[in-house]
Amino acid sequence: MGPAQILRYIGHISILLFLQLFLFRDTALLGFAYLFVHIGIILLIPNEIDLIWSMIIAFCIGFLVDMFYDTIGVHAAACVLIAFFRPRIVGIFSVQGELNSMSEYNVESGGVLWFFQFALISSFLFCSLLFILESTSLMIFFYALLKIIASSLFTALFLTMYSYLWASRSKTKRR
Amino acid sequence: MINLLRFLYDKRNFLFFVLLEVLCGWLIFTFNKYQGAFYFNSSNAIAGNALSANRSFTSYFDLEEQNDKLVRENIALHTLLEKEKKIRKIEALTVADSARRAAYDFVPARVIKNSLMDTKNFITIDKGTADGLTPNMGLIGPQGVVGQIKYCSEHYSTGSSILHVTNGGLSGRLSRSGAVGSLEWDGADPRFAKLKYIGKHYFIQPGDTVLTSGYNTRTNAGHSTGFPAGILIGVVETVNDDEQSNYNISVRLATDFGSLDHVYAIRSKAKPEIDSLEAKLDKPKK
Repeated sequence: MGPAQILRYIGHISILLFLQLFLFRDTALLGFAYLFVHIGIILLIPNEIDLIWSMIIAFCIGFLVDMFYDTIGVHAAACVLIAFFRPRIVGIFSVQGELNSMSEYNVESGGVLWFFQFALISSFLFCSLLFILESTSLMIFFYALLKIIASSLFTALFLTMYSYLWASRSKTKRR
Repeated sequence: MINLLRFLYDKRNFLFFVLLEVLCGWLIFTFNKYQGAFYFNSSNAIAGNALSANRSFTSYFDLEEQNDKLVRENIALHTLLEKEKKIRKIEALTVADSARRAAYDFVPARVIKNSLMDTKNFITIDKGTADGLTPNMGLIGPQGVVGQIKYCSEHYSTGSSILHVTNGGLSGRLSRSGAVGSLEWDGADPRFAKLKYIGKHYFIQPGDTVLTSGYNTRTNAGHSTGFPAGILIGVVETVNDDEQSNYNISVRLATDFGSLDHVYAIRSKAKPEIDSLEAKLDKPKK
């Protein structure tokens, strides 16, 4: 993992955290589609980082976001969940040999559709745990389900766009 | 034993995952019941500072809107205060007359032109007849009395400030002694004005506050002022008794005319009635 990749990852952390904490903190499209762009930080963890360390990163990110939402533990739990399942989720769409050649799971290495599926399943897992932890009774289960589906779609779309922008940026650089 | 350790090592990722999730669960159940009582919420140093920095940055974007809100709130408070005063008076007189309650309305306006250097200083504000303003309405600022409207167009009005030499005088009452005099500006220092016609039988000290009397004073120009009683004009700065029958009182004006921005025009609901009553005095007797 070269210094360029480390710098790029720090860039991801700063940009996505800033977006989440200061711009999208209270964003809710139509009142139920939330945007959780900080899970992009977990999806874009470089592959050389050990699973245990990626879970620690996920926990820290989740904990930090929790402090801004006053929901200590909720985001952290959901972030750790997707960090743990991340290798399995990408395993659904591709064979092991392909994955080993990727240094980071992004649009550049796997393509737009591939990354969208990866982001969608991850954010679906994340939102499911988040909204189940938040909802206190079964009365609002269907509303929570609506929020889960809408939010994971919204988040996955945003993250795909985000990763696509980085991919196109590095392509123009190479030319 | 070796096998157990090997098993633990093989499953270290999963075990660590379970450990972290248990930690999160513990955090959720411990901290979320007592939000605000613990350190790890948005009021702590990191999140709190970041949020307030964010707010202090973004607050510049809606400064205009916030100002307007504050102005509107002030009007509401002024109106309430007037109502309260009226109610108290009415209760004291035990006269129940709803027509006399809230005898004044306040119309907010921004000063768009102001001068201090002339001997006849005018203020132009961004409200006019379309907003219900008429000539002779009083103007007050957040700090105290400002002046009086002279001319209105549809969307703008021009008025004379207290700093206006031939203004004829604004009726002011010394709050401690109750003496009523006429406040006039001598055209020199925009911070000070003179309170005239206060007899020497009153005891006046520097530091006494001067408030509007609420009198419907008839000025030289034939206008009458429209201020409710008890609005701050200024504070007595110096008192000289070198004149013959009256004090020479210098009043430090409450309003800083150099930084005037928001003003309120005072609409008196009772004024037309009072004016028409007093107009009878002017009519030549047949």
